[in-house]
Amino acid sequence: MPSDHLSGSLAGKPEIPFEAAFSVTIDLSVFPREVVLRACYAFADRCHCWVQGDGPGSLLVAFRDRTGKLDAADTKGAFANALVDFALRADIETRTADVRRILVATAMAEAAGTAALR
Amino acid sequence: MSPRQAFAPLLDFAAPAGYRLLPFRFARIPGVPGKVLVTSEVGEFAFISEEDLRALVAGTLDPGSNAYADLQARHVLVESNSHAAMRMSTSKYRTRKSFLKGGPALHMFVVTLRCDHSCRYCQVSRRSGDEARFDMSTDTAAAAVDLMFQSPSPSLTVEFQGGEPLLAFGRIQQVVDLVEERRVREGRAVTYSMTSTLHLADEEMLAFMRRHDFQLSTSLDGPAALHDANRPLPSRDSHARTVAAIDRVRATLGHQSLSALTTLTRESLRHPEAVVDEYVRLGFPSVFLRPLSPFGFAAKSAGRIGYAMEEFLPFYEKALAHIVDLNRRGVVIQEAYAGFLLTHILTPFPIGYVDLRSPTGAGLGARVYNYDGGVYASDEGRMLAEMGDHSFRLGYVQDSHADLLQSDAMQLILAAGVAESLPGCSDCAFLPYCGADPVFNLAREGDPVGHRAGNAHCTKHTGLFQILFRYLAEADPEVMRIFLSWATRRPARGLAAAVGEAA
Repeated sequence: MPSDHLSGSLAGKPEIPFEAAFSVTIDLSVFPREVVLRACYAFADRCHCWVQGDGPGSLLVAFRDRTGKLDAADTKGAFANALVDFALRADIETRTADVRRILVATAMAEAAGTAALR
Repeated sequence: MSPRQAFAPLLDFAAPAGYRLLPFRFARIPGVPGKVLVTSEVGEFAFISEEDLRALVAGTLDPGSNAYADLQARHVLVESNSHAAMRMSTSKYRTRKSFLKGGPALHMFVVTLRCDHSCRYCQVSRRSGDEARFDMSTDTAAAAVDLMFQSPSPSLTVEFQGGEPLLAFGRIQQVVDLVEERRVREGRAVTYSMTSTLHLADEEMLAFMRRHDFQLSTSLDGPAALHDANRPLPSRDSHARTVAAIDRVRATLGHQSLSALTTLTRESLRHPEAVVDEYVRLGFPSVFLRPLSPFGFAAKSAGRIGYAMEEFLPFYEKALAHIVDLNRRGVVIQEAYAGFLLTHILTPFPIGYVDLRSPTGAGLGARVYNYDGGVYASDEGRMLAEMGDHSFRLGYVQDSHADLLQSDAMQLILAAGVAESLPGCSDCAFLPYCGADPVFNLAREGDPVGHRAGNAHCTKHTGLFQILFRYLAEADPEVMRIFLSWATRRPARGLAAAVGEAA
């Protein structure tokens, strides 16, 4: 699960390029990089998100307010929920990828076949 | 020989334990607490609890539960021995994407950029009425007709646009004559349509349009004060002239030949009920509540008349509630865009509205032949050109159909015009019902892919879908009947038996 700590530059690590309101560290064994990036993309309407490595198996995400109305506690909770949602989505996509491929390919092939018969 | 058993044990007929998932997406709808919207790859939907969602994904959803039955019926889950579910999903997917077959069907002829109005939100960058160099030439019109017939689509819609197309009525006649010569020879079905103020429509024009069964569309922004403020004429009587023109058209072509649409300015947003009531007063069965687009003079006037999508959505919700209430009281009035969206939500059928397709309809479903001979992928593409950006010019009327499809502009559209592959869209529960709009994104953000956060196209459609799905979650039988009538274009009173199926 994400853990919270104060923002700022960390010894030996790249400097966060903006004044972050807060940052979280994410365990990549729970939420893969792809999931973190998709959650950050979904939050782009309210936050700037800076993502960088934070040691082996972890990512740091720093948040900067875009709207002037950011509530840190609410945002952390919503981001945590978003990570769970995008992890579910990634799981569903992986497990149904073959079926989706077959469904689309069959649908399009049958459409071409129907036109050819006509 | 042992005696033959009369019946096999009941267990022999039980479905194999477990289920597998078919592709689906999910979202939470504000105002629908405790429920999650689940949408299948082919656009079927259900509302389930958070607990059921977790169980569904974990593979532990109770086979005896209502949620299981709903999701099985909607092809979100399938028991492992069922081939029928896959066949049905395949068929629905093919139906949803059937607009891909046949090539561009909508062909817009911009016969002139001249106009006698000075609308504050003009998106086409009109020219004044005496600038004849902004008219389509005879040769350009002939070449455009030739190019149109290179499209393999068996049915073609020829739509006349402007400026004010009636200022170039001779060109309209020429195009129709050329099309009529080829239509029968090539076995194509052709529909004519036109977007016009109709103020200049005299008896000769109306008779011509009746002979060719034109479908007409005009602008009606609401009551007189609002309409006249938006669409000024020196005589200050635009609304009165519009109403007179509506009467003339209906008398000659019939009531069903004419529709109208609004263009909503910031002032319009203060009057949701009044705008709708004006349409009811004038006997229109449908109102299209259309927000400003970021093109032409509307872009330049945005500071005075524009607004954010976050301001449009509350207006729309109020207007839609008023429309639903009117329908409950027996007044037949539909919101046209809601009708498009509900067709996508409640049926597997695509609609003719090319902006709501994935792959995008720009260039694939529609084409615009500009007065100067340029060919554009969409009406918005040619509006962008009038603002100096020719990114979506496919070529010229002297080019071939193949040339246009292989153009740089078409490649740009295809790279950014498939919502299933766009960031944000690929995750979105509304994907099966929505579309990609690379032209809008380029105009607004300078990037045809667009960034979903803050993207006006996304904000608008997310908001509209949330409004509609709140109604669908409530599943009020009368509202469902109204919505189903819009989606299927059938009178609501005949749909009582069908209401339960759509919920």
